[in-house]
Amino acid sequence: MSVTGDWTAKWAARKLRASCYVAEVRVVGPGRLEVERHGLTSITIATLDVARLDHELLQTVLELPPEPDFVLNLRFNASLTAPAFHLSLEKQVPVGRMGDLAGALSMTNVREYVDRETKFRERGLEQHSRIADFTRLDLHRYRIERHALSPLTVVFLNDYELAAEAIRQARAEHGTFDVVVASNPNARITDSAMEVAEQLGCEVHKWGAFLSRLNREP
Amino acid sequence: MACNRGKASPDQHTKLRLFSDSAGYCQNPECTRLLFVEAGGQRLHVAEIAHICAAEDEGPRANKALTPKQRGEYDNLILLCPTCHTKVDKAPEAFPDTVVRQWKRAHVNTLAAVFGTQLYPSRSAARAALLPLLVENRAIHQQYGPDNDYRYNPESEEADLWQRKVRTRILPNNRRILALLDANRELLSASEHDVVEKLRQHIDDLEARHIDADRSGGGARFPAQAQMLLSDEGDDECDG
Repeated sequence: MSVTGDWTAKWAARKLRASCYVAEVRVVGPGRLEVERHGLTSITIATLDVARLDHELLQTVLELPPEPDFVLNLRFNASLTAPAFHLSLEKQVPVGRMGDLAGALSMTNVREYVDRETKFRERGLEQHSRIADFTRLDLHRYRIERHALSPLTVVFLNDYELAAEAIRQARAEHGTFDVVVASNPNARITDSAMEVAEQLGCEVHKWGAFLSRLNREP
Repeated sequence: MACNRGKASPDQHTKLRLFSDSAGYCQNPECTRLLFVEAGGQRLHVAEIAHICAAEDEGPRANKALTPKQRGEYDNLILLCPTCHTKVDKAPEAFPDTVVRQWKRAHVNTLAAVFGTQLYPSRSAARAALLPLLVENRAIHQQYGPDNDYRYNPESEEADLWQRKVRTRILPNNRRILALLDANRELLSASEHDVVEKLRQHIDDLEARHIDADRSGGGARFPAQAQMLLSDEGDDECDG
């Protein structure tokens, strides 16, 4: 089945027509929607359904006319590779799910959309007195420079249950990192996750403990 | 039930609640010694309030993240006989906080299973009693549950609210639901018995997460069919 098949566009069109910001939706090609908005400019949405969106595939999607303002991936828990993430930033075309698109529809410039999780996370980092600077490496991973302390590579995971599998999956997707932060306020970090983290040579903290950890060396 | 641990001491209401929960018995399930005795013509109690996580930073099962006030609150206390209190405090490695919490939870559940249940004459009568509990739990989950968008904010206070709702409403409702279903088993169809057992495991896992602070991972989700227990749709499968 083509990842840009018509079913994704038709499905998304049906959902979008229910939005109070949307006047009309038209399917203008395979995996392409034209969305007219009330009182705002029309936007083009690329639709697809893939478990893993890499640079090559995203580039193909972005180069297909008409140029999209937003890439909607319908797959639950889909991953976005680091090169694809940077391509998305470079082209200023956000990649997200229906919830993200719903949040973007009310914006004057949809291309400026930043998801809530990133906003909360980066606000916390910006306001921390020990952080000199931080660089986003990919969807979940940051490099954090600290005043008078060594830099840290941190992965933020929003799992409700942060288990061993989540740690190993993070290592497989993101390579090495120093710290995993359980950013979900309801997260439970399992004992097996802590054991795997120790084996992999990384730490696991909830958000509050992570903010304290930033003030010291291990 | 004297306890002189400064700010980590329970207040009078907490003491009463602990005693009420214990029903006068040691809350170690392998002991259950009666805490009220007679000696020399005098009536005495031998109950001791034990801290699950120690009142002091260096005590047994200490959790330095807890404030003194939290250490003296109901959630951190259990009522034991003098022997069990001494055992758990002298050998904390053999009695970690998760085990002691499990004792307390099992004791409360046992009493709930004995009291507070009623036999109903029909499925519809039992359903009428069951439905408000299911509806309340579902409403709380929808409004405050972890699937809501606050999950993206690591500092969300709604998470604390959710956890309070779980402890004060959902878990007590769950105990009433199970007690009702167990007492009225004869009204259930064969397939509904299976649903009840799935519900029981979900409730057990939920209590382990929220009361015992269990960190073993996993946990059964709420079985959707439980919303329809004792409803009219199940009549054609009823054994009775």
